[in-house]
Amino acid sequence: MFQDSSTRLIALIAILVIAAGTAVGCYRQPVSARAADAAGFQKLVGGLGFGSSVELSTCAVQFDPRLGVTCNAHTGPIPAGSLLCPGCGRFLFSFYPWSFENLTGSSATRHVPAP
Amino acid sequence: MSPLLSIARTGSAAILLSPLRSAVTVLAVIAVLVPYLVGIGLVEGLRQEARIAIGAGTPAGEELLPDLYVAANQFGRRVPIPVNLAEPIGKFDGVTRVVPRIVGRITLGKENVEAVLVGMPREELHRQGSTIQQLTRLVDGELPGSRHGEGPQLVIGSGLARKLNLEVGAVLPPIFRSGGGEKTPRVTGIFQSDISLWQSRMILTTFESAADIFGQQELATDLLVFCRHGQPEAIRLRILQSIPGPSTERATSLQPSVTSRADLESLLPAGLGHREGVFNLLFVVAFAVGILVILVTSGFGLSGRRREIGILKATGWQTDEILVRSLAESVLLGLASAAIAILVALVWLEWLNGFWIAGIFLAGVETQPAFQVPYVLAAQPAALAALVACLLVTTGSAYSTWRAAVTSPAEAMR
Repeated sequence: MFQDSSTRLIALIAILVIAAGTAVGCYRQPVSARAADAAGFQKLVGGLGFGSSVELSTCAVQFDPRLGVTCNAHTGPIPAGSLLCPGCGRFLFSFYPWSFENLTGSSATRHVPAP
Repeated sequence: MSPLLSIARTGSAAILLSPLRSAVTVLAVIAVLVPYLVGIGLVEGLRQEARIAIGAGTPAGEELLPDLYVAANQFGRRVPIPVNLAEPIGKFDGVTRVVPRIVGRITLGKENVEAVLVGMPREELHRQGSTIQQLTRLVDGELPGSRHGEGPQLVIGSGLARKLNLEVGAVLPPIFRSGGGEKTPRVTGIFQSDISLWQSRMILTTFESAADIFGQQELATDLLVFCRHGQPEAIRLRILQSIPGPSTERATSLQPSVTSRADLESLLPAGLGHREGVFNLLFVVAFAVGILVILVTSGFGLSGRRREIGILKATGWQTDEILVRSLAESVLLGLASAAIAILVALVWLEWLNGFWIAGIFLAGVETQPAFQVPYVLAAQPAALAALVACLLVTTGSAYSTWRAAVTSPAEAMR
């Protein structure tokens, strides 16, 4: 079928590309059964978990922003301390600590009324 | 076959002429692309899980997750909220029910394993448990039902179960001492490992037991408010205006904070996307280094390659034809590298379950994750990886090929 080695190589690369394309096609969506189970789990715990942390020792905000408005290091004694926070700084997929500026709705209302 | 296609086809022959150089080039590109694809896959999976965790896309009128989360602040920080505030909030028009919840940090065992203790009211747990069609798909065992003063019943996460070597029915050493003496917690269930990453270090118990464990009666971490469709915004304003009321003495110094689903949804593009940008930026640097690596690897068999180009020139090949041949070779190598990188990334995430690398990107995750790592291998980053691979190889080898191609055949063959 493929007589010379260069044709065989092209065929091999084509097979690899097709395999990779098929893999992306199959795994581009999360499994629906898992999504249903995850929704059930969230119902049990009332919606908990959001960020890239699975526990609270590093930074509670990175576990779930519902548990804290900002990172503790952000309000600590070191200026720009959130940059040094192991939760906010170390993990590339942690999200930016929540601040009132990030809020869109009326949660953005500050506790001290503006004049 | 057109002459250009014939020349391009010789590019595949060129790959086989210097197999060591080709192999090193492919490995260098794979080394750069695989962590990129795995990382992007993880962040997309995390984004999907986060959407489920905040109830984004829930059909209107279907009560799955709370619409509002009411918490208290003092001195600009989160503090526990009195449970008795649930009563006035529950009377607001449009509120269907208010559920107090405790979420706290505890450590277990001699190794002080970190865990997140979640306390939900017993009735609420069983109410929600009864609405879930196949509870066994979520929990291996039973939901907790312990009352105030009884030994706590716990459902623990799969990560904790593995780390502490616990099974259903196991008892834990007393982790608190209440007024009634030591209480021995008992494991009534273990979360299934494939439902969510956040269950891994979680301990679910009743609100009453969680209050006993933390020794904080009549206090909650937050109040979960379920509202009728279209009402959450109005109820939020009402909570902010009227809580704490004049009758709640304990709460007068507290400032309520209300988080809605829209607030959390707004964090998804701005939040995870922000760090994803940092991730992409780092990989731009990695790709730049990759070009240099390919430049260096082009040196593998360089003398042979120069001779080969010299012979081609001597037999009548033009410089542009040699460059087309080199381009075809680079594109084929790039495509092969990208395809292998995608398949390796898939194997790493699906079959190896993100072994080691999940712990790099996710905090608190062991080398071998105790949960099914969430990931989505999207088409866009895969296509970007293929493009970058082709560009990387082409950029890395173009200069050395051009240098050899513009040299006289006699000089090149020397």
